[in-house]
Amino acid sequence: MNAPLLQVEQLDCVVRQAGVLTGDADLAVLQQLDFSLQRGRILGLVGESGCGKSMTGNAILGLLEPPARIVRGRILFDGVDLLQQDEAALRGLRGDRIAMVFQDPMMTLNPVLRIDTQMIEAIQAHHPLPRKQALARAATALAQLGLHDPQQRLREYPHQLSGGMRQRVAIAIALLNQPALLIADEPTTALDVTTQRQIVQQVQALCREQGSALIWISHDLALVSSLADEICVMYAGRIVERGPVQAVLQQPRHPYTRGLIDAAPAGHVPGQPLPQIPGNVPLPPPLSQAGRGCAFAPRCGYASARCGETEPAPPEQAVSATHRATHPATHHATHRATQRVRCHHPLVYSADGATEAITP
Amino acid sequence: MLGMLVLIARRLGQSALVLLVMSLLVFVGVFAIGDPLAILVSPDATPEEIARSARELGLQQPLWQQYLLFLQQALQGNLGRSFAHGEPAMALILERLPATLELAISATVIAIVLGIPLGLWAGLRPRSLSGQSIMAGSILGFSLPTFWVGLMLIMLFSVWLGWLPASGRGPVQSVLGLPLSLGSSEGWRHLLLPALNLALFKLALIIRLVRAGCIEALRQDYVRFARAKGLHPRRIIGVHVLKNLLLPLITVIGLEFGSVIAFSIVTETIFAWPGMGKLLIDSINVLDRPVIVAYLCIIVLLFTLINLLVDLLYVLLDPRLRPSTATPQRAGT
Repeated sequence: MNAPLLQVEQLDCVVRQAGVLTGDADLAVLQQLDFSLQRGRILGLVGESGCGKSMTGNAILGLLEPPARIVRGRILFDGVDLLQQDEAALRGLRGDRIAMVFQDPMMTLNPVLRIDTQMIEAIQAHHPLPRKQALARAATALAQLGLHDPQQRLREYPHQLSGGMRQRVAIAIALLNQPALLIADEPTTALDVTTQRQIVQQVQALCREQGSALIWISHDLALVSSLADEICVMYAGRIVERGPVQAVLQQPRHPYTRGLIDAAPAGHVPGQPLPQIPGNVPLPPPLSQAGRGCAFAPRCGYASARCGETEPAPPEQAVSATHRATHPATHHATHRATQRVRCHHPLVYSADGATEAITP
Repeated sequence: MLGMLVLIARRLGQSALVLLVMSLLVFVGVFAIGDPLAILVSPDATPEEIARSARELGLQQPLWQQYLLFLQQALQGNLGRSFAHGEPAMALILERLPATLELAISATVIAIVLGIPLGLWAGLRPRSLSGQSIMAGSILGFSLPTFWVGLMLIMLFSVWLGWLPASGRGPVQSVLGLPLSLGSSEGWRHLLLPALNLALFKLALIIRLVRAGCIEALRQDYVRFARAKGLHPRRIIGVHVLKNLLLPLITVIGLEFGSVIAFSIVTETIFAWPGMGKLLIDSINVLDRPVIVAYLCIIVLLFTLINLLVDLLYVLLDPRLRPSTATPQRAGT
């Protein structure tokens, strides 16, 4: 197997919070983040608001700004640790090899610059292309995202375009230099469902065509399930479960993933109240208190005394040999290979698909 | 194009209305303050002499008749003769206009050329010592009275250091028919101190405006997206941030330019700069009504003109304000 395109290893990230009485404190917002992505593959990063999804995206691109900073870990892109690179080297990668689009299409484009200006500068920042050729490439990129009359669009200003069109333009800009990795931070959340579906399909097709890997950040499980190859479920700054998208969504092993799936409106019986996970995502704890018990325990129906005391180990070690030995019949060998969960009591499935929690 | 003409016509209409109200106020105001005759005619004049002067100046008529006469003449472009100088009031003022314009433009240029870089610097490093020092300095620019700063400038640069002349205007050359002092180094030396004095308040204003706008813009998604595109910070600041900053900046500079012309009185008085402001002060002292009215007319017209220019610049800079040249906002995709 080739080396992965992107490998995030044990990434810890804190936000410094100024306190008048208590002094400054570092809040642990990302903890032991660990995942990898192969070339051309699509990874869905899901979780509730405030669990660190966007921060992960910004961290990869080196766009974290004070008071947020990375304190530990490695981000290997194509074998190079991005955290060791200087700003000039990162700038060379950004927009060229790694691109990103953001959530709000109304705010992403500069209101006082024409579309062509904003596209050409993205090309010319990395490639010494004459204006005419850059324009041609920009027009092609717009057409690929299904914008009609790209020549006309290029001469317009953002306010002359609808939200859907603006997001298509933003994605076209991100894909201009055929990046090896595109990070899409909930780019369709602000759009209507039809537009959302079209854009998702176009981005998926384009990435496949260009061989770009894609990290799609979303809180929409249904959307991610139709798009991604793999999925990472984040909760309170940690990846609690990851694996192939089918495996994770059909037989989630973390109670949080189960809760997310149950709370999704799709496939829900009309008329019944929508199940929801009680409580809210906790605020990031001060670094000194991080790792005291499972962050999800207060909301978890399966929590035991142990969950409140020690934090489950990161996914790599969680699916231990003992579990396999204890419940051999319940394991699908194919899933076990890559589906990983960070939980003391991962869900297991009996042969008929019923759920039960492992009690240690 | 039609929209532009409508805009201009409306503005001119508005300023005509302002002119009418303003002239009425000046007439009533000067009448309320005192009798110009008492100042213009020597104290030992006989009643006959006073009556003759009143007839010559048209002051023997009741006020409303004087005003109607003024309006009638004004419509023909005649704003009356100065009581004190005997010359047409408009000519007196236009003669002084180039000196004031020269001072005001120099002050504005100084404020812009220093204010934008300093504001950007402070906006990019709001927490740094240099950034905070710039802000502290701008507070001084706001709060120190102009006349005091002017006196201090004279004290420092003219009296102690002896680098620059303390007052007056340097030799003038005719540039495009206007007598300007910018042609010679001596002219520059005379201009520098009053221009700096006049620029100080606006410099402080521009610094604060640019800093606030810069901090605001840096938080915007379009700046984050520009960074994600891998653009050089020079381009992000110089194009993406600055172009958004220009909109509020143009408005304030425009308004301030008008008020600099109008209220350069203090600076002109301190530095004995032969501009309109000084003329106004002198005229008010002798209740020279035609000059006061003419001066205010010119100021109103200048304000109107500058505001019009600002509006046009705005449309040029902000595509969202342009009359729909292309398609309007589309619904959906």
